This record gives sequence, structure tokens and C-alpha cells, in this order.
Amino acid sequence: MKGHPPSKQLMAHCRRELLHTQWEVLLDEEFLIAYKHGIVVVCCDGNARRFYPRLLTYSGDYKEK
Amino acid sequence: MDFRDLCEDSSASKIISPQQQRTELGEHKFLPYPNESSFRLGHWYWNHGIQKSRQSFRELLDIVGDPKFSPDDVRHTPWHKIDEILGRNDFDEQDEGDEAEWMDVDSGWKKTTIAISVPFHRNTKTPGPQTYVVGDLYHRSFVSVIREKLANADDNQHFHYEPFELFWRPTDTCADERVHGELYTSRAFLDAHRELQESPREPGCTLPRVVVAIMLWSDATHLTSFGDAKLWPCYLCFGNESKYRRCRPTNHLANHVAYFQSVRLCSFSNLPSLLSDLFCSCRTPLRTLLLRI
Repeated sequence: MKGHPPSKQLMAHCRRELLHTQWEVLLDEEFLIAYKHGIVVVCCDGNARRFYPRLLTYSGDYKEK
Repeated sequence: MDFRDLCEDSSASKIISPQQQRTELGEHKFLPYPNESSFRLGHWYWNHGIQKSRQSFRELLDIVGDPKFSPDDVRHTPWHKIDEILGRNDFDEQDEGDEAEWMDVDSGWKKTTIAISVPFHRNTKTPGPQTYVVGDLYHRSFVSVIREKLANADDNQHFHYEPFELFWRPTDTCADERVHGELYTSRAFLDAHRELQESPREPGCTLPRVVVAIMLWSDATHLTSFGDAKLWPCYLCFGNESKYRRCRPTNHLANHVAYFQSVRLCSFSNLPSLLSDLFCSCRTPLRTLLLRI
């Protein structure tokens, strides 16, 4: 590659964009609908319940810094 | 990947004689290793830990001491090339036939191409934001992971549908003391549960409503095997299960949900050379994840 390497700020921007773009894929429409309206599952005890996913913790690398 | 691909490498084709190639083409079962002796050595190297032990030394002696072991077979083995082949994800590069196989092995995995917008300084040849494809994100549907969990009869008996407050009374005369330790006894879970119960119901639905407490965890890992391969996996655990069960690897309670792509300089190999003074002034609004910790 010719020229100067990309600046720190540019790399930080790219890392941030990349991570958030990927999270946008992971938290997809299906998940958002489940988050809002729940999903009905007949559990192993034979009873049906409506389950609502909630993101309670996220521990991860801060690579977008 | 077959043996011919392996031989396309000039260094490999030069050192393996045509006769050897014929023999080796008949030994497909050891691919990408050209023969059994090479395979056994390669297997020993990669699968017996990174530290030497007496046990692994004995295993090495067993291999080279075996009458079937042929030093000639391993003399010209292109080890580096083979390691590269082993480290490559075939499903990244092959046609859809192979991809279907990957999908079969781990059902529910999806592949999504990830592109990001890269800003270019006004002094560059092509100023302004430009879209670059970074790679493929392999991921699973969170909802299908949740459904799978709830359908698992073994795990189900340890799955807390409701959070609770845990107290400890050291002696009869002491006041109760709140004990913290599990997510399903935490304030965050209790609050989420309460909010959910107080929220309007789905029309016509009288089913009990349950919080599925998702705990996400990601940590980039440098793989010690197969070259310089790196992985950045994301795991999903359920806070409805005890940490004492979650932390035991044999319980398999951490679900792989994604393998993140990371930014590498080589991602930019196709950028114009005028990268100097590039700086991003645009602060893109972050798609904030509403996380309650």
C-alpha cells in the first residue's frame, strides 16, 4: 500500500461502523418482534408461556475505541 | 480442495515427483496431507497441545517407530501449505454446494455480507463516503437459540422462569440479609420482570409472561492452531440459569451466536493511495444498544 497508513481516527471510525453494522444484523427484525410481542413456546412441562428476550448484560471487547 | 489444487503451488509441484503424485492422488483420505506418515505427524503436532510432555513424546516415538512410517514420505511434505489449507474456511470461498454442507452441520447459521461506509478526506482522489465490503458475518438467529434452549428438557429443569429475591438470615435474631450472586436474583432481572408484568398484554393472550435474560459475551481469540487465524466469537448465555451451571464447559450453556469480522489494514488494500490526513469528522450516530446492566 502506498501513502500513509490510515489515521487512528479513521480506523476507530471503521471499527465502530463495522461492529454496529454487525449488531444491526444480529438484532434483526425477528428479534425485535420477539422483544416487543414475545414468542409463545410450549415448555417441557407442557405449559405454554410467552417469552420476552431482554438483553441484561453485554461484556465484550471495546474494539471500536 | 483436492490434491491438484495443492500441487498448483509452484513450490509444492517442484518437489513432489509425478510418481509420488500418482500414489498420493490415490490416498485421498489423508488430504490435505499427501500420505499417512505426514498425516500422523501433522495430527500429532496440532492435536497434542502446545506444550511438550512425556506422554506426547511417547506418542511421537510411536509414530516414527511404527514400521509403516516412511521418512521418505515426510521429507518433502509442504507443511506450511497444508497448514494454510487447514486454516482456511472452505465455506468462505467455495461454491454453494459446500456452503450447504456448512449450513447442515450447524443448522441455523446464516451468512451476511457486511459493508461499511468509509469517509475520504476532501483532498483525496475520491472524496466523500465510500462503501467497502469487509467480509461475511456468520451468525445465528437469537430467536432460534432461545427456542432451542426452551425446548431442551435437560436444561429446562434448571431454567428460572421468574426472578426472586434471595435472603440470608445468619441467626434467628439477625435481620434478613439480601444475597446477590445470580442474575435471576438481581435487581435488573426483577425490574425487567416487573416492567413486563405491568405492560399491556398481547390482545387476547392470557399466557404467563417470562423474561428471557440474555447475557452476551464476546472476546477476540487468537487461535494457537493453524497459523495466524483469529476469531472474534460472540456467545449468548441465559441469566435464567445459574452461573454455577453456566461456568461448567461440559454443560454447554454458552451458545455461539456470531463470529464478528474485525477491521484489518489489509481490508483497505483496495483503497486509493491518498490515505494521508484522512480523518473522520463525521460522528455517525451510534445505533445504541439499550443495555441494562
